[in-house]
Formats: sequence, structure tokens, C-alpha cells
Amino acid sequence: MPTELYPSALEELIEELGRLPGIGRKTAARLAFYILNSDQNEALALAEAIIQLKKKIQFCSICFNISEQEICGICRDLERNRKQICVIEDPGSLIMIEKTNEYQGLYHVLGGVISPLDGIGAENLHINELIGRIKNVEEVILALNPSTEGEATSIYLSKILKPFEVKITRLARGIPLGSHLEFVDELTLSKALKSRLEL
Amino acid sequence: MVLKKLKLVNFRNYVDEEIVFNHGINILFGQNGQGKTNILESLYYLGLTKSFRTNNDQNLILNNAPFFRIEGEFSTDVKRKVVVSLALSLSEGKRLKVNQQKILKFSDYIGTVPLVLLAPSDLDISQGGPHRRRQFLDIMLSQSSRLYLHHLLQYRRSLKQRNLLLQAEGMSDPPALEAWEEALIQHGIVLIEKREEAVRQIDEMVKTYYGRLSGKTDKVKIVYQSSLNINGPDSRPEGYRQAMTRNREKDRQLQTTRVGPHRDDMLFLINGKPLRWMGSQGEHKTFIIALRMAEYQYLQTVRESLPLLLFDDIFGELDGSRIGNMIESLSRIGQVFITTTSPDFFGKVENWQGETSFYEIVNGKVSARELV
Repeated sequence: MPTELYPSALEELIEELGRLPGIGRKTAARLAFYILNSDQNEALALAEAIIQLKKKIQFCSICFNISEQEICGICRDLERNRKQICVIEDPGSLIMIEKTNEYQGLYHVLGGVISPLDGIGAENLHINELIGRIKNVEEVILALNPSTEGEATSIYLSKILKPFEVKITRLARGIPLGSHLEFVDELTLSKALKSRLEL
Repeated sequence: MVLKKLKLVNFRNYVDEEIVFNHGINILFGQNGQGKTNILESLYYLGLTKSFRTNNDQNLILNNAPFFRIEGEFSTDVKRKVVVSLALSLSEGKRLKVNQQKILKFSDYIGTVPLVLLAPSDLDISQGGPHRRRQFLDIMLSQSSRLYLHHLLQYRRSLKQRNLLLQAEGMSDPPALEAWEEALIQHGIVLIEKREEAVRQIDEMVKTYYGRLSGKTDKVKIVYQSSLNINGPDSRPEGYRQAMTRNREKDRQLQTTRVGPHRDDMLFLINGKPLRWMGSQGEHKTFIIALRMAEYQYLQTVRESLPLLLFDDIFGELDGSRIGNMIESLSRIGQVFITTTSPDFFGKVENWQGETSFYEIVNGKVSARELV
């Protein structure tokens, strides 16, 4: 359908929705029509939720986690181990690690990984802020995704953190618990074999 | 792997064609321009999700059609049925299904239908620049090991990232470059080691096939030539790292990475002399056939599965005795697809007893033929 056929208010919404990650023009149009056909209150609730999200949620000024206050709950929590910082790509990873209940240290959200192909350099991430936090820290745990870019970013961080004489570790790679060797892909299995542990 | 049935819809000059193939040798004959090679191309595409004739997949769609689809019904060596369907549509891109299950990562699929193609343009492998020789190794190894393909893709991506940094002035501070260099080293070393190991193995095979095909005692040899010049596996990461550091300034000027497996080569020798410069046309042809046969044997050994063997119009260029020797080698292998303008070349081989089926191809239509 040619673009001009949509009334401008509809076209505007399609364009805005189309900016969202993973949403193409077709999906955006479908969503826009859904909203158009939905109940007035339902549509307003969606709009309000977006407004409230931007009003209330901000990024923690220390670790860049999402927070309803200037400093997030984890950074304010004096019970937590302030000698450990776990570096992650995004708040989503933080929530997953928190769910394990295994980690009592602090976090630092980088806000992405280095990727010149996407125009993201070290200066676009919260790396200087990480360096600023390093002086009283004993261990930095790198927990970035095991993608090409995640790996390169880990290497980059380990290089620039080296002068600070802090212990740098990263998550182990291995076989998912509860799975069967038969169903593990060759790649994961070979990494697990390489980083095997002595019993 | 045995291909039982092939279905082509809107692929090249095939509108809607279903062909039943047999074990043994399948001969596709017909005049030029009728669509013989298109069938091999569709098989190649099914196995490697790429064409060997074009980089633009849209060229494969029949004129004015919105999509093409290739579907192959295979029987594995343990007689299990596998149906692979690959479709490309202008609106939705490429879609791959194996037994009705959608495959999202093509790299997980490569090697499911292993195959080896021998085509006239293969002469570039021995006569042309290093690109085709690396491509030969990469395709063979990607079909034989998912791990290799993973490292290859990661290496290529890291290379792009580093080259981009080299081009972006001011952005290329040493730690940023070093991060990508470490990635290149990590993946690059695996590529080099796997390639060297494979070259050692196919070197032996090529020797045997070359002797059998030519009937002569010429000595052929294949040597892997790394652009890194590092001796011994222990010094490899360190030597690689030093080479990267040493080259950094020059790389920055030229805005590209000048050493690593993406610049490596294979040297083909005949009686100690480089084939590329010294070989006769006949020697090149025999060598390439021996190389493809070695690829076949290598894949068969590592995958424990019989690859499909595709021969695109090569018999016209060979003399009778070579064809005879080749057919003899062929009789020991699985399913073969051969395109040719004259179906009678088997007449040149007196004692041929393998199972052979004939298909005549006329303007995008395939008919099975009984030839005596």
C-alpha cells in the first residue's frame, strides 16, 4: 500500500513504532491499526505508561542501572560487597544475575559493547565511569555476552584496567545444567572441554 | 547422503519441476543453455545456501517471479529421510527448513548436505590468485566442522571491525586495536591450524589421485603458506601478536590488515616446481580433478557421510584415458551428478558397470531417458 494512503496521524504512529528494535514497517502498521481499533482507555493507558516510564525511570548515576532515584537500590545497599564490581552490557543481564542470588557485589552497566561496524567506540560506553570507580575495588568480573563484540570488549577492558592492579575475571563457559551432552552444540562443548576443571 | 527427489519452483529457467534421482551416477545431458548447470547450482545452493555462479541471489529467481524455492528429499546413509527446503522471496528474504523445522542460523546447517563440485572455473584455483585457494579450504572445512565455520565467521567479523578502526582517524587508539587483534589471534590461530592439518591430509590424497588419473609418476605436493611465518605451535600466539604490533603503523597507513589467515595461500608443486607458473593445461586439469576427489574423500572421512559429487561439464575437455581413470575412481563413491552435452562418453569406458541414469534437459524440462 503506498504511504500517502494513510492519514498523517496514523502514518506518524507507524513511523514512530517502526523505530523500535525488531519492528519493521509491516509490523509497525499492524500495531498501529491495533491501537487505532482498541478502546480509548486502553490506548491512553499505553501512552501514559510510556510517559510515566520516561518520567520516573532514570539511570543510576554510579552504575547506570535503571532506577527510580538518582542512585539505584543496589548502589545504596550498604550490605553489599563494595570490593567487587560485575560489568555487564545492559540492565537485563543485571536482573538475570540478581535472580541467581549468588552475587553480593556491585554492578556497572556499560550500555553496550564496542563495535566500530555499528559506530560504537569505547567513548560511547560508560568505561571512564568504570575507571573512576576502580580505586577501592579488589575484583572486576566481566560478564559480557560471548559474542565477537562482547569478547573484544572484555579484552579491551582487561587491557585498560591492567594498570590499576585489580583482579580481573570473567564468567566461565560451559554446559547448561540439567542438559544432556548429546544436545549441547559442538561449540559450547569444545569450550567447556578447554576450560575443564580438576576434581 | 542420497538425493531422492528434487523440486524446483521459479529457480533460474525452471518453473515447476520435480525430478526423481537414483543412486550411482546421474547424467544430465542436453544442448547448451537448456538448464543443465542450473540443476547443479540448485543442489549446491541447497548444501551451502549460496550459488557458485553469482553473488546476487536475486539472479536465481525466474524472470518476474516473486520467489524461488528448492526442495530436496534426501536419504541419509542410515536410511533416514531428510527434507531440506530453501526459499528466497523478494519480500521475506531467505528461509531454510529442515524437516519442516525453520533453521534460523544457517551456520548450524552447513554440512548437513555435504557436497563437492567440480566446474570448469575451478582452473582458477591452480592458475589464479590466492583467493580461490583459501575459498577452497574454507568451504571444505566449513562443511566438515561447525567449529571451523564459527571461528571463520568470528574472524571475518573481527577483521572488519579492526579495518574499520584503522580507517577511522583518531578512533584507533592502541587498546581498541589490540582488543580486535586479540580476537583475530584467537580465531585466526584455529583457522591456520585446521587448514594446515587439512592440507597435510589432502596432500596425501591428491598424490594418490593424481597418479591414478595421469598414469604418470609425477610428484605433486601441496604446502600451506601462512602470511605470518611463525615456527612451532608454542610460539604461535606470541609470534602472531608481535606481527600485529609490528604491522600496526603500516596497517594504519594502508587502512587494512595485512597478515593473517585471510592473506594465506596454498602452494601447489609438481616435481618441485610451482604448478601455477610451470604447469601445462593438462597438468592443471588433472591436478584440479585430483584436488576435488581429495576434498570428497576428506569430507567423507571426517563426516562419516557420503557427500554428493557434482561435475559440471568437464568431460568434454578430457581425453579418453583420463575419463576412464576417473570413472574407475568414481565407481567407488556414492551419488554423482554429471552435466554433459553428449551422453555417450561412457561408451569410451568399456567395463563400466555402475548404476547409471540418464536425464535429458530441454528448455527447463527434465525427462528421464533409457539409453542402451
